Amino acid sequence: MPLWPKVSRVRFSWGWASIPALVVLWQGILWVTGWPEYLLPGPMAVVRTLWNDAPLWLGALGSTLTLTALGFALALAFALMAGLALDASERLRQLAHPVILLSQTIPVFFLYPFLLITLGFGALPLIVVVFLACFFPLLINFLQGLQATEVAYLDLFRTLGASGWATVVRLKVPWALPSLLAGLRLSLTYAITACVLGEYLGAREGLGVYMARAFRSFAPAKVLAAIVVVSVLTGVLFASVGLFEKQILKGRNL
Amino acid sequence: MSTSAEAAIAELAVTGLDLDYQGLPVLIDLRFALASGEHLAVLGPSGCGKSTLLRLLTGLETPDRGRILWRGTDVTGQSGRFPLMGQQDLLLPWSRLWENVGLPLLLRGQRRPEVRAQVAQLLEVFGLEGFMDYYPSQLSGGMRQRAALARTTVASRSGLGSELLLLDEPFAALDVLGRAHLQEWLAGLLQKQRATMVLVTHSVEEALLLSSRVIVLSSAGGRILLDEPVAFAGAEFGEKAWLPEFLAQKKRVLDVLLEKGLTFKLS
Repeated sequence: MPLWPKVSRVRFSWGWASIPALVVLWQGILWVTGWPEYLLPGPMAVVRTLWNDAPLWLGALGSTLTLTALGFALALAFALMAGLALDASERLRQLAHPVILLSQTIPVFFLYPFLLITLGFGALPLIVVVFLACFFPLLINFLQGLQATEVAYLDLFRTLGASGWATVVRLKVPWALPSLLAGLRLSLTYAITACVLGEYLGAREGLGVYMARAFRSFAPAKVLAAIVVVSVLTGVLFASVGLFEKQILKGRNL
Repeated sequence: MSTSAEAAIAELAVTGLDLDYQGLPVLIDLRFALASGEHLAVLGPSGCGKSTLLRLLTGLETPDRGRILWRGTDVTGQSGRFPLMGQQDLLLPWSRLWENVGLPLLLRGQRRPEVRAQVAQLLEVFGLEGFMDYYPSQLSGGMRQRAALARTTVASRSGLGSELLLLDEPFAALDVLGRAHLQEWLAGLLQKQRATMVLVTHSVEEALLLSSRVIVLSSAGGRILLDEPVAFAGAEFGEKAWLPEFLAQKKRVLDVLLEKGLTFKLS
């Protein structure tokens, strides 16, 4: 009985040697071809920049992380509430369906210039863009999970005389958890991308601002350094969701 | 005895149940009564409405006509009174064994330590002692079915003091050995506990081993073709299947199932 999708987790093995191998290859090609560093900086130049610019990008990272976390937390809270409400009411689902479809046709980043005009430069448009980027994937995944609850189990709860709320708490939400967690991982990536891109398009501080300044001063090593920071950040968050998943789904698929 | 008089003294009475499914009659005017502590087995070809009967008794379906009476009270279409155990164990994969068995109590808002203690006392009867904190995926198929049965018992006891067990092919998902083992175990349990039971099965042997009365339903409309007591119900479990009366009754029931069951299907 395939009740649960297997939880995919990042596993560390010898295969991970491919990453350092790529870095070495990159540096090697630069040495052999003699490309100038101001056009294509090598890994060593990037590391040097990361070291020298540490105070700059660490401050920017702090700002980016704070806004991402805020927008993401809001999106999660609202997605959970909206998911439960939509699951409970067929009429609400019918009303929400076109909105959800519409949301999927508008790339969230295109909304950012508009948000800047309406909400002004500062933290608010960034929080809103992160919220918009995360809310719908979280909601869709959560709702799909809730709605996928097997009828036989719903019948069981009915025959046991469970109240509607008890059915939600003890059956539907646990049932939807793997699906919600999949949405969580997906939207975390969206959240960081949305925030950094928003900052890039117009903001006062953050990794995107750092990147934009590096671009304007024609410093490719700094642009790459910012990319490395974003990539590591995403990886760390991804891994922590994985660990969280492992904890929370413990015992389910052994 | 007239049906109404029977219904008055019966533990469970079913009076003229009709149910159509998408215009097709599943059950037509089904009526029977059960005395307290009676163990009824319902046999019939697939599609005869025997599973539907259980869904009606547990309240998942409401009949188009007719009533279900429990000790004289109308319980037609009311769910949450009589638990039903089916082929699937339906244990919650994210819950430990004691939480699964104690689910009916948890749903009633009982405190977790209390439920845990109550379940702990029960597990020995079900041969599950020492597995309190296991997840369903760590248990064998037979253990999971026993856990589901334990949950059903907990639910029927914590209900209105109404011990009615509704079992729908409870061991069909097990292999032959596992099934034989659980049948013997359930027979022992039924002897010790005073529960009224309705067991739906496709196996004549299982019906005769576990019940004190058998009913055979026809394929069209679920009409009662045969309704008789199991004569040797008190005999030792291990001996039963070899008694001449057992074999004679088995043949009689099978004949009804095969001949009348098939003619009804063809007509």
